[in-house]
Amino acid sequence: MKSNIDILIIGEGTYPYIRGGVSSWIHQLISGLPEFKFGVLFIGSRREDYGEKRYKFPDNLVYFDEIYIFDKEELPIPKRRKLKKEYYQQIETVHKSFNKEGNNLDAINRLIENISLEDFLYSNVSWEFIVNTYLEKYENESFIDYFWTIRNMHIPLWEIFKAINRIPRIKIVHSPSTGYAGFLAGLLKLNRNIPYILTEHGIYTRERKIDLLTSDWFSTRRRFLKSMEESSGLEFVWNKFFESIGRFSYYTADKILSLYEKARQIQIEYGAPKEKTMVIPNGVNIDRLKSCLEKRPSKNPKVIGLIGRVVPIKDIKTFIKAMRIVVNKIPDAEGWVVGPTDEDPEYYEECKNLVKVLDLEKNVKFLGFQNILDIFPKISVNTLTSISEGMPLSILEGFAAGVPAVTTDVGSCFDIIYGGLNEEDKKLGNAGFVCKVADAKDLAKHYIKLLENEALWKKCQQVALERVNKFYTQELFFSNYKKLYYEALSWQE
Amino acid sequence: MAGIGFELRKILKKNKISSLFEAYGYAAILSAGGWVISILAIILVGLINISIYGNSADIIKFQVSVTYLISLSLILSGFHQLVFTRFVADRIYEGKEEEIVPNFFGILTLNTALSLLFSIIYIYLFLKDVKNIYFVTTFLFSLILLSNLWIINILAISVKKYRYVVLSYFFSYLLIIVFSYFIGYFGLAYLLISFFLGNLILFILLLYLILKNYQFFEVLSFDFIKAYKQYFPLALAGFFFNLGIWADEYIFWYSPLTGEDIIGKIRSSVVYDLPLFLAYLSIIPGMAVFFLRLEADFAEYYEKYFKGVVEGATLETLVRFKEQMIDIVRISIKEAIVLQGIFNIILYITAPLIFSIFNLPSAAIPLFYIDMIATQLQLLVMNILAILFYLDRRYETLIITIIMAVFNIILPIITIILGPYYYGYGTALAMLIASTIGLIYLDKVMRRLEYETFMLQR
Repeated sequence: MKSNIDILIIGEGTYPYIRGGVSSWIHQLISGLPEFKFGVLFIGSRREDYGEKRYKFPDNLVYFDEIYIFDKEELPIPKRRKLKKEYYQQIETVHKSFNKEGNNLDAINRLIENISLEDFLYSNVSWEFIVNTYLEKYENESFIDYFWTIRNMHIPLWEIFKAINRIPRIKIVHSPSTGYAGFLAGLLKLNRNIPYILTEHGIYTRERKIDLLTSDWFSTRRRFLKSMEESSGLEFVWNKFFESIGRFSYYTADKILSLYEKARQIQIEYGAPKEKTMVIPNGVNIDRLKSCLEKRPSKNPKVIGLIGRVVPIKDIKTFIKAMRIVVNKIPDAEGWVVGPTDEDPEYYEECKNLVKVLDLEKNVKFLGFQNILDIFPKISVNTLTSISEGMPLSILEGFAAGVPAVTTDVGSCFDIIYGGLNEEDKKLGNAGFVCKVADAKDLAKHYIKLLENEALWKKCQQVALERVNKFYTQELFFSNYKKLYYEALSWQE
Repeated sequence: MAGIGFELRKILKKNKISSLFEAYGYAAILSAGGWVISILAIILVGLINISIYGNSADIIKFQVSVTYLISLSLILSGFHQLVFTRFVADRIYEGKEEEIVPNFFGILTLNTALSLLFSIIYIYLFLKDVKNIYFVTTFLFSLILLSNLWIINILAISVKKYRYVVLSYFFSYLLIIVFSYFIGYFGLAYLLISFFLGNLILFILLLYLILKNYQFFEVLSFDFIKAYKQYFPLALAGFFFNLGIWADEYIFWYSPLTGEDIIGKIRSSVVYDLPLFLAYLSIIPGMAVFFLRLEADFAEYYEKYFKGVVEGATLETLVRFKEQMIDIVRISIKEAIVLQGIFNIILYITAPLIFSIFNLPSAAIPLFYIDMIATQLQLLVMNILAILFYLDRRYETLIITIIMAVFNIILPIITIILGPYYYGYGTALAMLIASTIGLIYLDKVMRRLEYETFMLQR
């Protein structure tokens, strides 16, 4: 079963244990390309942080393995260790190479071979290095916090090193993020001389920044790496670390993919060599959604739908406030929030209170998890008020179902709604509107426009359907990756 | 002995000459512990009884038996002393004080069983031919009592009612003198019974203090055995420390050249013992000074250091606290040397007078001089061990005590072979070696303190 793995996907805190954008993307990719044999390596924090597998493995997923990088009780017993001074130079060289463009690959490999986890944890040389770096850059920070931050961020690396030998023969390694997963993929590339494809969904480095700044917002969403945040007061050190290993991913990857143009620009800004970058957007299953179009009533229902979980990052409260303004103008307008409410019960309560306070109980409804095929025919505007997104599939699905969108200016929303892939895409026109983040007035204005102006709505629907059929079909998505994989395989031979 | 420092600092803050003496007084008694007081008491018993009854043969036998009782009981209970100290400190730290008393009874049970077994074997081997059944029985009970007394002493000090502890000691040893005055006349067994009764009263007084101050819900628990696993090096260190202190004496007692039979196969060495005991008494001021520094000042910076670590101080701050700890160690050693120096000059000058008071041969004066140096070096070893114990350096503590014990066996044997002029140099050299190695360790430990505090964790 382990033989003949074409592509190994390394998922950090995602497939198959956590549902979400990246996980569905992985599942879709594997299921859609049966001609390739896939393997999946799951990198998690601790085993107990994850439940059952959430996906049924497709037949062409022939290898699955998991590693946990925060199982603390497995740390070796503390014991004084003395290393030769020369290792100090080696460590310094590697660290410097991470902070500059391009990595000293030999030095990295030598370091991995020479320095064990025990050496890192307990040796004199490692201590000296930590102290000197601290004194150089962070001497006014709490030392214990700095120390544990350094420790916590490095400990997983040895689990990663160990994994290199565990992974069977593969032909291509594909990572859906930088971070630890991208780092492992880079090491695999170096050690086995195989193609490395990196597809960044969010920008890991940037997301980690938001993550750390608003850690309690995100902690329920991203359980992964949570234990690290708790022990750290030094966000900057974390950022630098993830930037460094992010650069390593950019440097070692053969192709650096993103889902939309703006993300590609950010990658370049963060050090990705331009010539390696490329945009491959997600695709939706057009056929499945066609029925929605047929089921639409002749007269547009005055309903605005928000498909998403009720959590702070989706900024449901701004949606509710916007609905107040809409209802002032159109008293029988409705706003539906479609998505699970149990993830952050406290936030859900707050939202419900807000609905009550704004006297919108008749207009704003929380429908819980629903089949989108039933929802799309009943709404006229598909909205999204998030403060951060990657590439929201629900907007594209809405397009395929003939529903224009009004969103905040996050992730790929601008590209999807106004056309950002190329000139042809731009010419199609707008499939809705993009508003400022957390601006209820702006959102409401555009909701009203679409609800009241039938002609405008029709025009937007037209653009939406055209755009999704031309640029965002599942078929296009599959054929793009198929091409990429074949290219990589041929490059290898 | 966390907490003593705080109390002593409180006394010192009163800022009066009398409070200074009070603090040093407590420090002296608490640090010197029971055995120095016991030696003082038996010397007094001897002086009083000899001067009144002139019965010097029994008095010598009594003094020798008590010396044996003290040394054997200390070595025997050495296994428990440090471990139990840690055990008590850990429970207090965890706020599980109710576990202390049941485990204390547990350790008493174990220790009584072991010392009973040891005493029976010992008596069979060394006192088989002694006909005086009162003496032998009292010896047996005294050995068991004393080895338990050293353990209860640890717990009594942890209660922090120092005045009570100190007064209990004074009261009990006064009773020994009084008892021996009234019944000592009847002979050796009665002198020993006086000693036993005094110590029994001391034990009861301390027990009362403990039971009154520690809550407990069960009576007996053997949880402390786990602590032996955790602190095994300390158990051994406690044993070797006491062995190391007494080894040279046993060598001199059992050497055919220097010792003689006193009771059964219990032997003593007239030439060696008294100068050494006197020298021991000479280090009491040094002990007090050091104890006060350690418990009051060192403990303060040690606390500051670890609070700083936990509460997120910068490395610079931590290093500053550590350097202050090192300064305290330096100052305390310096102070002890200065104070002992003054004291030693006085003793040096007055030695002939002291020897004539005690009716000692003036030929033993040179031995007394070298013994003074030996005991002072031993004081240094004890101080280093106390600091290392404070810093929880179990293995270093163990190694130093092993070195001390081994050299204090080998070197005295060599000096006996070399001849009387060399007596005392063996133990002095042994202590010099142990203290030098101790200082090297201390230096290393201090230099590596941050490294070990942070790195050797998981």
